[in-house]
Amino acid sequence: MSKIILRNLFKNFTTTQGELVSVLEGINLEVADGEFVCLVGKSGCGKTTLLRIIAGLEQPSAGEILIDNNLVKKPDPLIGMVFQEDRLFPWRTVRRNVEFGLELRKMAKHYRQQAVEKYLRLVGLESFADALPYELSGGMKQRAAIARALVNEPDVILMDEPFGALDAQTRNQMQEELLEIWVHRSRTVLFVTHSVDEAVMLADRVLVLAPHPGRIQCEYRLSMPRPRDRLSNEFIKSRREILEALNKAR
Amino acid sequence: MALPTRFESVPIGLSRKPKFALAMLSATGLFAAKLSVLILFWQGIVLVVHSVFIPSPVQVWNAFWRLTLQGDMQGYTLFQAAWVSLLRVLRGFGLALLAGIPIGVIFGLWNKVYTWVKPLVEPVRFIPPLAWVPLVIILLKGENRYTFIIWIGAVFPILITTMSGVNALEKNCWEVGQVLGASRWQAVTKLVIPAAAPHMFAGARLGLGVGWACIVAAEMIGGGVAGLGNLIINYGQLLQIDAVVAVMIVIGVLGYLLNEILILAEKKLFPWRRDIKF
Amino acid sequence: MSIFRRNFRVIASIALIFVLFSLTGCGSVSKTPDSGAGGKSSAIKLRIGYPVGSLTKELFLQTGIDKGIFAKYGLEVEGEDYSVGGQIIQDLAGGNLDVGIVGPSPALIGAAQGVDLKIVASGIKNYCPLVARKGINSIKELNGKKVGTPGVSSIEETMLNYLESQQGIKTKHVYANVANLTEMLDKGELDAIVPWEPVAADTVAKVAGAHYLLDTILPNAEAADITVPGKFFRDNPNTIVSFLKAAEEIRQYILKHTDERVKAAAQITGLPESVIAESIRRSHEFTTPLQINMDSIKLIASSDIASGKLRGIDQNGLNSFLAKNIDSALLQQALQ
Repeated sequence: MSKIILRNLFKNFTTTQGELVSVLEGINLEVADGEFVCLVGKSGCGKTTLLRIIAGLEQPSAGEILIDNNLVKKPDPLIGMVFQEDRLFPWRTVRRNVEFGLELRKMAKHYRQQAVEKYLRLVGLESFADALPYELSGGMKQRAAIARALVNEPDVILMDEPFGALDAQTRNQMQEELLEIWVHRSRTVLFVTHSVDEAVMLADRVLVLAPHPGRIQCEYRLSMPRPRDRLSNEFIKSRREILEALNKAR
Repeated sequence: MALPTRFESVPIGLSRKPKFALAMLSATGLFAAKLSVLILFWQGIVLVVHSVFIPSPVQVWNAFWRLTLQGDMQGYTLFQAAWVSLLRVLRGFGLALLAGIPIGVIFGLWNKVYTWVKPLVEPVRFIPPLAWVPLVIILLKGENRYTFIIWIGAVFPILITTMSGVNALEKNCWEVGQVLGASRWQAVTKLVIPAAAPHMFAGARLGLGVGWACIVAAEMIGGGVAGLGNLIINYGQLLQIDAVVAVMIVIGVLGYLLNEILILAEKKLFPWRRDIKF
Repeated sequence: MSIFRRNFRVIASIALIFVLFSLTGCGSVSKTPDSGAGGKSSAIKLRIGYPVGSLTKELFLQTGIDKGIFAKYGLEVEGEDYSVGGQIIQDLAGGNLDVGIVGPSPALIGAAQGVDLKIVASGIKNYCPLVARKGINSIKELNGKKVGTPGVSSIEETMLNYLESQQGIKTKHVYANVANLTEMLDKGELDAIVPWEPVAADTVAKVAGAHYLLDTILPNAEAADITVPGKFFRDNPNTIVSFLKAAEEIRQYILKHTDERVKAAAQITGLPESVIAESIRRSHEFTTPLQINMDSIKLIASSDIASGKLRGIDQNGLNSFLAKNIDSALLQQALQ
């Protein structure tokens, strides 16, 4: 059974000049339970919009989103989202940032403490629990943001270029850590990126989006075992194929 | 296996204890130097202009001690006057907080409400507190008059900064709240208010400054027996300009100290705001 | 570059507007004296400061204008309202006034601080009434109570100090604009007030239960004197003599035609005739002789030295201080 189902999704915007612009056109997609799917596309192809619609932050112009066969209409704490920016609350410590979702759901204090400890350990921030966000490096901030999304134990995690602002070295490290978390928890992940390398590194399946209007051009299944070797022939081959598809997509 | 997480070290709190005393010492020395230059400049003006209305630093110093030890003509000391004025300011300021912050939050959350009342509220903001004096004398009684003048001076900075602080909560943070399932009430109490708190505090600081600066205007109303504003007005009429200048300096220094105390509190309360300077 | 240019244009146009405004402003300002001078070019203009709401303008100056007395002596007067005597002294010192009708207390305080001025004649006597609220029927009852005066520098304040020392009482002194003293007595914030006239008469008429405890605290004491800057005294003694002659003639006129002048003053002030008549009956304002009551001035100065209002002068040096600042030679000349 599919975890996420998108049926014939359309999204239009009206510009300030009153012009109607089609951003997404007829998106159909099924994501299996526990699957790691990457969406790649050039900037402006609507991949972020697609993710925001699935998160319930925006409404589609037509079509529907089903998660576990339930229609998504508004944000749900069990659909986790990690944004491109860390979006940590600057006035809360790392611990209290991570705790935030549980606080909203009025979970018991001892449960909150345990859960926060667990996820801080998972992302390796246990010794920075009482630091304020400005005291952290970019990678650490993004880890805290991931922990904040995970603490609600969501089945589905939506990630919108979460490593886009990090330097290459940190980025690779974060990718490895993310895979570990994913394997540990076996959740469904929908991951938006413009880096083909990242997509090939992470995904079970890569979807290539074409711009104007945004639509799914083609998809690739990657069966390489993890951890993947960037220098293996298979990796390089997959990367080249997807890059070519991306360049053709217009 | 635990995750391979080795992080760069983060500079939290440098060890600076021994340097601190030295820095304090040199800061005190620098301050003394600046003060001496100012006093010399002042004395220079006194010597050059030589007017009965320009008192010398020594005269002002003597007036200060006379007011501190013997008090004014009615026997109220400078300390008593300052205390009375401070209480007046705090009363007006406290009421300004009680009104300014909730109204600011409401205006910030529902911009439509603000748009509605803007043509009524905004002109009032630009009426100087002094302009209220005649009306206040007729409509209010006793201490309430001072309270109102200080309130009207303090409430608008508090209200406006609170409102803009509430408005300033980034859409980004708001969305995180939504994604994590915050109700509207939770969004207000857990996101809007904490994010706006430093703005509110800055507004309060601004409001206290304006309120303090209104004390002379307020006490110009008369009807009180003591107060710093009273002293200024009385000694001004008696042409005892040395006493006037002494009280002016006291008002200035006390206002400055109040502000510094609030800045310290602000830094303690909002360590995540590293941009608080003045 | 373009931003600079735009800014420059904005600044230039604002500057232009300012220039235009100031030009038109100058134009209108410079016109008034021209048109004024067109009528009577020989008249000497005098700027006269006095306590607001004291009938100085409505009774004294207006009589002189209405009856052509100032014109007869070649004078043209322009009145300025002040809420307290200290401000009149400041403007006499600063050269913004030629004549002040001002209490001896602020005048001497100013002189002691080094302001160059001369007291040349008496203006008003008997002018410090004591009005109490309902329930206070004797002066002794005011002990520890709040008593309002128009300001710390005022002659009324001095008189209150004098009253306290005479009666062996101590009150809390509260200062407020004279117009607000009535308001504060009415609201029960004050137990008594020492205003000037006709404020006292008006208060008694308006505030239920308010009544005179004293018509004036020290009978026949100086309350406001004709005071001029020292430089004006030395440079233009003849103008001052003319003014004093006019003042004496006005006094005579008011004395003879009191009812007529009360009516005129009532019309200008909007106060009931009865209030103005009552205030004149109790204080004899503008109808007492112009000779200065030196005994009262000494009393006032002594009281001010004791209270700390008058600084830099002691009882020993008082006589020479008064002799230096009070000069009735011009008055003698005017009355001959």
